[in-house]
Amino acid sequence: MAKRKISFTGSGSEYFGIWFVNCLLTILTLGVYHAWARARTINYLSSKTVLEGDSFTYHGTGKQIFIGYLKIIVIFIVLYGVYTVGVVLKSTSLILAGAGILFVGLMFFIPLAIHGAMRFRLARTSWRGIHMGYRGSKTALFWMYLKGTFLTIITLGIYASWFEMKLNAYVYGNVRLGSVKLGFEGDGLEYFLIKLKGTLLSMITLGIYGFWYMRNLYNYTYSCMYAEQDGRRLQFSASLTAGQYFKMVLFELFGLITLGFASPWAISYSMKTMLDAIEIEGEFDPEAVIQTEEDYSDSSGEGFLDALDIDIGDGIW
Amino acid sequence: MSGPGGYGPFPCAYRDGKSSRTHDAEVTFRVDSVVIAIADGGVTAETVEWPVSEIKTTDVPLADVIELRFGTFPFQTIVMRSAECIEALRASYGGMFFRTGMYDAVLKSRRRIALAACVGVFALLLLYFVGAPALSDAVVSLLPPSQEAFIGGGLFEGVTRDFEPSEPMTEAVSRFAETLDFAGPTPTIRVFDEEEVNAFAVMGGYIGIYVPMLELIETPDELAALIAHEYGHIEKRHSARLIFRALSGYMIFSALFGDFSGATVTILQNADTLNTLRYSRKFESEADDFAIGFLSRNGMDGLALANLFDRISENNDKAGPEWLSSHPDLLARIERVERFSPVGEGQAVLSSDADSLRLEAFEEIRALTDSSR
Repeated sequence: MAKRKISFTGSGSEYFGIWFVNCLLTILTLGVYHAWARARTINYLSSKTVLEGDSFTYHGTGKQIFIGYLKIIVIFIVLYGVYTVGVVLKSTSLILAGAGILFVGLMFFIPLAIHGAMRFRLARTSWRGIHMGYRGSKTALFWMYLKGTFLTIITLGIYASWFEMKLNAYVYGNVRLGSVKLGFEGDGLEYFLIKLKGTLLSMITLGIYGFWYMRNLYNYTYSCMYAEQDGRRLQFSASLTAGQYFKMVLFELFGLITLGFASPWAISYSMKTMLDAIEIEGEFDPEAVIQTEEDYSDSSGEGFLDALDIDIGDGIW
Repeated sequence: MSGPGGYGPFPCAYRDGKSSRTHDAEVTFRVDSVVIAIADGGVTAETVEWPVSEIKTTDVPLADVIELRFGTFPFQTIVMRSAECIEALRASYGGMFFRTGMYDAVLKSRRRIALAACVGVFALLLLYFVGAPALSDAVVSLLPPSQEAFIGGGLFEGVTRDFEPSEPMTEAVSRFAETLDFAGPTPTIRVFDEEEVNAFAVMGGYIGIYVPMLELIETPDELAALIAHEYGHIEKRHSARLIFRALSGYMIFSALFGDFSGATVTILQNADTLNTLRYSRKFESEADDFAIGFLSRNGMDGLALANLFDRISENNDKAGPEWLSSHPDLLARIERVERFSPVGEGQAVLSSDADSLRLEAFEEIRALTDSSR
């Protein structure tokens, strides 16, 4: 059976140019350009992400992302406001009230933000003119999130593995590339055992096992993914190595040490390595994907995730 | 390949937006439109013409593959890969749908990149050292007094929560302050039983004095000088300006990197260290100038401030020099105070009743400090 890959064809030096001008314009505009810089970055990374010889196209604009940022600022002021005032005034009652607002607020907003970001990013991404899309429901995700968080808390974190698998199955299961449907089949127990083994061995080896642990998490997650075209199944399998993971971490550290100047190389290395580790096996007809999704334009979800520092990745989604 | 019919034709890939099926095609760039001849099995099956005004593209800087989209969703698209074709496209419509000129201009040569880097660093320094303080001062000047008093009250409460208050001294010093003319509301003063020689002011009218500082004071005028100096910080809104300046630093970073949560956390973590911020020399001089005017208005000796500084300086090694360390160039400033203070020219605006009340309060403070020693 045919094996395919999604590849990243960008280079560190090319990306550096864009990163550099982005930084410059962001400084000169007192940060306002950040939204446009982000659009340019995703534009670039998408245009260098290639499937079957054709790259992905990102259609989001700086203006849309900027509007998203404005919403996020308002949401953050609401969420953190009371807590911050409480800390500044050292008032215990205000801190408690603020923490409550923050906790309940995040409970509501994280699932909505995941939903919004998926909708926005995917609807604004196309390949061969075919738009991607996200068909999940806000309410379903919210209840799933609420239940998952509750069970995770009362099982002292053990349920987190099952929760994550369920969340992935729901979110990925609602991703479309036109008539191609994505899916995710993960087993909570298997995932839990990987985490248990990883945590224990990392502790025993003083963190050294961490690279193998992270590799296992990545490989497991992406091997659970599949796609379906006209009833034919395309299975993903990931085979990242611990060495590669180590190099990615090293690159990232180097990026930090150089105050970000080396980060374009770090990101392009990571993109290349992580995508190259995934193989897609099955019969795929690149000429027969039908346009099925709609246009969409609310960026607050995406901006929200960015501000929360939960990155959903700068590549395809 | 430019002719009367425009640039082209160039090979490209055409898709109709309904499916991912690729059609070989040839594109020609005319003045107002792009013409695409779609081939099917080697023969031209159909020709479409797109008015340039309805064409969109995603402008990726330095792109070597360009996709053009046309019409309403779902878009028809063409993808062009040859350098010749992309060059012709840029030559034909350039600014119409490419807005990456800034990127291309900067990235043209190494010298330009270096120059741009210098501009960036300079702008960042300017922003941090000039822009942020100016902006925060502007914010402070817009802050209504009631807000300032509210925030200040909370801050003062928070800062002094773990301090040991000295109730009798607080009462006596407050009574002393009541007899002074502040030309505004009398500040709230509290005395704390701490070990350092220190006094501080918090925005909104709050002054804290440590007992060892009171022990150094020998005359009512010196105590008035100390209170006046601290009140000067409040009057000139130094405390508020300093706090907003510190916050503006974080604000800049959060704005530049779009990382709101990081900045929020930093602010939260630093909230309790805000009270330990140091005033600049300029702020200290301003407070001194204010104190001299204050003493003169209250019919007191401006030199008292200089004497107080002298005494603190002498005791420098004895107690924590914390208060002093933020009062740089002490000798130069004493000279300044002595040069400018209008000795004996003060106008006594308060009655002799106030004078005797003040003396009474001061004697009580002396008695309390003597017994605490």
